[in-house]
Amino acid sequence: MESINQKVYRIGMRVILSIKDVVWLVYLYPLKWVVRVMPCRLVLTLGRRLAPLLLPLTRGHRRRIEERARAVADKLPPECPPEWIAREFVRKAAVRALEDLLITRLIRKGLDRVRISGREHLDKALADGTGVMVVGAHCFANRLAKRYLASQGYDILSVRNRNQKDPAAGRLGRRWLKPRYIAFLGQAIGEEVHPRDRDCGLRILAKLREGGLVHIYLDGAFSREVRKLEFLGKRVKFPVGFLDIVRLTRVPVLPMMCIGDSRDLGICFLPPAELAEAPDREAFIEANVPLLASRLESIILSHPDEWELWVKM
Amino acid sequence: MTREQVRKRILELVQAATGVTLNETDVVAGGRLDDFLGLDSITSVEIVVRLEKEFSIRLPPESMTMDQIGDLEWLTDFVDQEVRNR
Repeated sequence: MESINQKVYRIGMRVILSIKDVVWLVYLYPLKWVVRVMPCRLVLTLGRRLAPLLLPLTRGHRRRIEERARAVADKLPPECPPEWIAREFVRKAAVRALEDLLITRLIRKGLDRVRISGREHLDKALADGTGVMVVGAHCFANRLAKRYLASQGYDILSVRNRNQKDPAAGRLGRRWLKPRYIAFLGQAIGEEVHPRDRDCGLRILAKLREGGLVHIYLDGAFSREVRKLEFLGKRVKFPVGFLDIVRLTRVPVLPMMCIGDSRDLGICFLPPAELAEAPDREAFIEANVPLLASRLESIILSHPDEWELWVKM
Repeated sequence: MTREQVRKRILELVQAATGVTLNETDVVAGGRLDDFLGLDSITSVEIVVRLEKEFSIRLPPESMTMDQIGDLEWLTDFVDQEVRNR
């Protein structure tokens, strides 16, 4: 039976301009130009006020988030029911889209409130001079947090998939708008490398050797090699390529969680993951992927409204 | 250690990292390891780490590209120079 994504993709292949293409077009051109001349605070206040208007338009999307969250309803904090997570998802996605447009100005101007917890873990790990592998989930506040950390002198390289499938994109979007959107996000993110780049591993190594941070998404299965595991009530793929670099270089692996938005940003560094020793590569991966996945699961469940992959993963 | 010995040892380390059996005639002078072995991103990291450990050297971050690491002659010259300067 055809999945929703396959159906959307089939339709998207036929149409020249899909709804998603129109959204990209408006976002990348008129909206981007308009917010450029508006005060950041005004743009974000309007965004927060108008975000509820998106709720009726995103009913299908929210239903899928709710279904996914219901699979782990027994593990969710009582104050975070699936319906609330789905509503927050829409609100946070809207605000984050505006923050992406304003990110350079926001960082230059200074964020209103930033709380960093566990900074001692980061500084201790960096003190060894080996660099640090920072791992985490896809959270709405990641881009802002990384740009903030970079502005504070924490040199950070993001490993990011630039070849995401976009089933809702039409032919115009795939050919013309998506590359521009990806380039725009690249500017918002800062220094980045694609996991399929032939230099990816070496660039990661170089950044670690410079004593910098490398940010890896544990929930981004775009690695050349993956392992399937039970995760939040579903069997999903986990990347393992970065564990090869960890095994070879023995760099510390520090879980990070980013919450909130530009009004109140929270960056939480957890103690370094205590990875299991193993005699060979396979054993190292087999022992440590479940360990990191379980750590990631508990991070997401502590702030389920901050995770942006409820639908995709 | 002569330059030839360094080159031979590098080829042994590459062989250990890739699991591909190499002989001297496989990679001729000026030949590229990445073309010949189809080096992937992680294997290239493994080669760098093995080289650094074996020769007690550090490759500069700016040289960490496949263009450099895949070039056997460049690698040999670099390691040879570092070993001589010690």
